[in-house]
Amino acid sequence: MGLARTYPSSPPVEALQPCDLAVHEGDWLAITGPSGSGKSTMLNQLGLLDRPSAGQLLIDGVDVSGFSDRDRTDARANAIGFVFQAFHLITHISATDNVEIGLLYQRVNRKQRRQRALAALEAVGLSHRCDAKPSTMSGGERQRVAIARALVREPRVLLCDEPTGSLDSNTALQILDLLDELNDAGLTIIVVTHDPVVAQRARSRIEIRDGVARYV
Amino acid sequence: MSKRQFERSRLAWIDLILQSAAALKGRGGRAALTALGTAVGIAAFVTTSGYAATARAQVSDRFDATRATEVFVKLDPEARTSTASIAPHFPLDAQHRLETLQGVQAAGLTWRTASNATVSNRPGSTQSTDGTKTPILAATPGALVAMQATIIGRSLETYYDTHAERVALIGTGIADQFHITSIALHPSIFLGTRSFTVIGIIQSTVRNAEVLGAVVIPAGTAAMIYPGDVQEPQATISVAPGAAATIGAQAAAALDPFHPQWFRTLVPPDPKTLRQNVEQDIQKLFFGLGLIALIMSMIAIANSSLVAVMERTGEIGLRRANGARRSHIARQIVTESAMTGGVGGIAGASIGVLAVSAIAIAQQWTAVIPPTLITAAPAIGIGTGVVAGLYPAIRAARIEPVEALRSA
Repeated sequence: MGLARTYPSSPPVEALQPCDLAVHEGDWLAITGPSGSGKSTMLNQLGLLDRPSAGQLLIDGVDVSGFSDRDRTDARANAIGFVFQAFHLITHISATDNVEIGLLYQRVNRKQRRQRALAALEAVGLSHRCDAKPSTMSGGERQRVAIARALVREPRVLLCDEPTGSLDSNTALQILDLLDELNDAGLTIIVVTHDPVVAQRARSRIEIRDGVARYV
Repeated sequence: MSKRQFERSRLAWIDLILQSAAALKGRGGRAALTALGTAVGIAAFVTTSGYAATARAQVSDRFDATRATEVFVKLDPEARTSTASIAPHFPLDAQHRLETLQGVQAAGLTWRTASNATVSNRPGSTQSTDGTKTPILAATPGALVAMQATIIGRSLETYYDTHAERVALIGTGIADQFHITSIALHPSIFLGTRSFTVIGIIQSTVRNAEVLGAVVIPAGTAAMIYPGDVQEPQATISVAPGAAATIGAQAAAALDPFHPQWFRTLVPPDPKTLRQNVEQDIQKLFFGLGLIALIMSMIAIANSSLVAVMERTGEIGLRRANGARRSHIARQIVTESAMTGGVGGIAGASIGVLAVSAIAIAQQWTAVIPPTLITAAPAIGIGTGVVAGLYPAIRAARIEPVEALRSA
């Protein structure tokens, strides 16, 4: 489909050259590349955080590339769960409340929301820390809460941006094990990382260099 | 190609409020300090309005109950010269005409009479003891009631008036002058050559103190013996509290509907109006100060919200990634600042009520606080918060999830 993103400036920055890529259900794809290669641009495209300058992005056959900001927001909320390097947890509310943010903007009533949040926390092995606040948690626990928040919406794709970037290697391995488990259970995972250890855990890899993406 | 395949995101009201409350709770002390600014502004506003209402409801300490319940009617000296045919005069039934007015408790007519007669204790004496002329007044029965005269003996009752009896009341000053200490022996005094039986001594009056140094004879007697000798006629009216202004406006027409211009009514200045005028100035001043405090608190809320928005860039990006629309973000920021303002408003109203109560207690007044003021205060606080939150909300809505998510 030739998905591409060019940032308008003089001369225009071709952050992402036209590329074709298909992610299937149950995939675990790693996107690697050095800083400034176009990884983030790819992440923004896949996460529907930004609009492509050319090409199409299809989710379940629906072309979302021409969507307005509002429609992209809806599509994003429905299809994609985000996990970030910086966790982005709200520090003064409990783990459960943080996970509930994942469903806050959906049509899910409060009781169901709580039940699903507790189930998601259980899925990431944190059922004993439901009422803890992120400020009292370790880095690994925090990232688990963030993953639970992404999972609670039952997304089509879990999009992780340097999920282990803020963790020590031991904890990082545990998080990768968790991702493995989730993938085994059928979840589609896309990880953007510059860490080869993380990339090796994936089933397929794309490397981006100077805006050109290719399968490894 | 259906966009509707993706469920619309939404934000329930209860969630909006809970999320905003949680965010404020997270900011804790800072949010409280911001609310305090609003509280001060609202407190100033409530205190000023409450104080004014309280003061207005009090019977002023300068309120002179006697003066506030008296009305005098005199002939207008200007009317005397302008009317050619008939000289201005009080009607014969002036007392009755005034008594029919609603709010009049007592009324009566007095005038100076017997201009040529000298008061003495011997018949025909032309010289009074100390050389000054003792005033002789004619009075209708109601006049002494209206004056609230305290009399030893009897007053000038209607009988004496209608029968033109030659009786007199003497003021306590005259009684001293003629060494009349008791009326048991029916003492007489002489007005010129005519003797009058003293039936009472006026000990004191609440108004018209001049009667204490005068001889008062029945109006009917005066009209008979000294016809046409009517100097300085005056109606004295005692009215119910609060009725002075009304009676003042009606008296002239009641006395003579055809010649109301003959009369000049003397109504005491209403101390309440006086006080209100003074208070309105002070009230404006404090109201202005409250307004300034409110504007400052608005700026404080806006500033604090803006700082919070900048600090929460990551959180806002995350919410956007989780399906929050720009409008959802904006609504949450406005709700947060509205809540800050609302809490400030409630606190301010409480402080204001306490302040008004404290003032009232110190002054030994009854605190009067209009209920609308109490309900308006939080509303004003919320309004302040909403306005203050608009700009931070716009800034928050502009935050792109991309930039937010890459930030640490």
